[in-house]
Amino acid sequence: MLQVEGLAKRYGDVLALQDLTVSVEAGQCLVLLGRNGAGKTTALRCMAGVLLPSGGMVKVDGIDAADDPAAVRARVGLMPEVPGLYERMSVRAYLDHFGAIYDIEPETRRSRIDELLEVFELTDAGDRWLGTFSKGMRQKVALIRATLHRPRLVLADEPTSALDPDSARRAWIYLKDLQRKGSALVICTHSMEEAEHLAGDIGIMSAGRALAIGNLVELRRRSGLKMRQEVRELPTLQDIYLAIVDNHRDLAEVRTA
Amino acid sequence: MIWPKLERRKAALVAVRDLRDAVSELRLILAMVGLTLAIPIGAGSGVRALAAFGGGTAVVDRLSLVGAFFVVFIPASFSLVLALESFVGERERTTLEVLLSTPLREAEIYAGKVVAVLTVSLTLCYGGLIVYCLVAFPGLGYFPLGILLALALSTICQVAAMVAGAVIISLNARTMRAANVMASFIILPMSVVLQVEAALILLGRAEFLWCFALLMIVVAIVLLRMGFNGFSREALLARDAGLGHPIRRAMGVVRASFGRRPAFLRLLWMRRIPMLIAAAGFPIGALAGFVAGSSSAIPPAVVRSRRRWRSSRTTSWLSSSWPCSRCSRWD
Repeated sequence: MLQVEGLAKRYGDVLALQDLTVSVEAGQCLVLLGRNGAGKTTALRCMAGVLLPSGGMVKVDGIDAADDPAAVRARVGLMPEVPGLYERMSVRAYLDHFGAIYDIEPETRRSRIDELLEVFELTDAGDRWLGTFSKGMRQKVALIRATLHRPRLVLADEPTSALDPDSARRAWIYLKDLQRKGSALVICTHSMEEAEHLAGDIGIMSAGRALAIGNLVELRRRSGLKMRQEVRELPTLQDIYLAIVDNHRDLAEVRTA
Repeated sequence: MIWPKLERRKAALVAVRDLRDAVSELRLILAMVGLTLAIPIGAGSGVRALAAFGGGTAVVDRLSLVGAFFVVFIPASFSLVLALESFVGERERTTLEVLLSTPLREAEIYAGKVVAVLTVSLTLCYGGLIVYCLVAFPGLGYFPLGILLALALSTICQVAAMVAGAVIISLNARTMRAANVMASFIILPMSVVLQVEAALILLGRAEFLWCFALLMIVVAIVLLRMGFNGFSREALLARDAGLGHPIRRAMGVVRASFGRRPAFLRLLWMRRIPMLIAAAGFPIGALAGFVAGSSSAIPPAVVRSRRRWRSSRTTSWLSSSWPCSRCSRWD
């Protein structure tokens, strides 16, 4: 579903992303971890066909993002880190507007909006202006908007960072459900719990590079961490993440080419 | 000239959303209604009052035209604010990334935003003009249809030129404050344009106004094309990273643009149409003038009356009255 090879992105003098190679099949989930400024958001924008790569290749559903970015954008649902909602629109009007942009039939649009508002417990707020919503509610609306057209590839940047634990769990269930229905997911997060819950593969990024990509077992082996001695349990993803990032501290901030 | 492809329905979606946003705030609606009703009613009433209290016919006629110009221009300035806000405002409110991540093409987003701003501004301009005409002209015994039509057309073109220029600024500014500062690059040239237009209106010659409108159409088309060519998702979404060393970057851009310049013969081929027009324009104009002069295409009466008008102006223009607005000639 998603093939990325040697992806690089440069902003002026700054190389924000270099040599990223990943692939995600339909029904799979890749979680990208990394400190702030590691290049995760830039990677998502390139995968979504919003930014054109400075080097390398991004293919979604066999379509090269450099050749036909509009077709790529039609197949992708991007949920940015900031929900970015039109404050003077009601939720229904807002979702209907984006549904129309994605060419969803009016009837289908209405039924899907009702269904998703129900899933995220926003039915009662359906006619309220988005400007009156809390941060968590906005994030839910952003997730609904990104997935309203049933995209083949969902790209979400910290999808549950503002949600309470219960709502976050509900969002994870929803994302897992999309995965079961055949969508591929790429998620950037700082929440290790979320990563462990959703991930098939995990990519750890730093300074615009992927330090390690693999499933939890492979990463555990690669980190060199043993059983946690004091409680005799396997190291958590948090331990693995910190160990891998610490091993590559030398890469850290210098990215100016 | 190749125009970009766009799906009108999708451009309309962008335009309708922007329009809804523009009319969703009470303060904005009040400002719009004020511009459309209060100023025209005030100006129209002023003209009527002058006529009722013994203003001379020539003065009242001229003032009614200046009033129309005034009423149309003030709402047009409203378009500048809306257009400046179109991209940089969305960027500041963080809604731009969502819009740019949709399958909408650049042309659809650009056209939608321009249409939304033009719709609001032109509705205000023409609403104001209609209200003004209804208040000022009934019973005045004077209705300069030709000049008002020319004024209406030149207003569309002026607003389009202002909007196109403001959208270019909005695309390139990083913040709303920067956009407002850069707006002086539009306001200053437009003030000159408006003075020229005001002079033409006072002259009372509709044909000059039509030529002026034609000129503004060309300016608007050029600016709209420039705006579209400068529209880049990349530039709008790029982080501010890498924006240091502005002089070095500017030099780099200039160098790169020269590096991409086509070979001389190819450049000539690409510019063939404007060069042909420029090369053919002078001889064609001269020939047309000669033919018109030698074949009496212009009625001799017109030529004679123009001569008389010119001689009367040069001999005793200080003592002459205003030109008669009904026949566009000096008495």
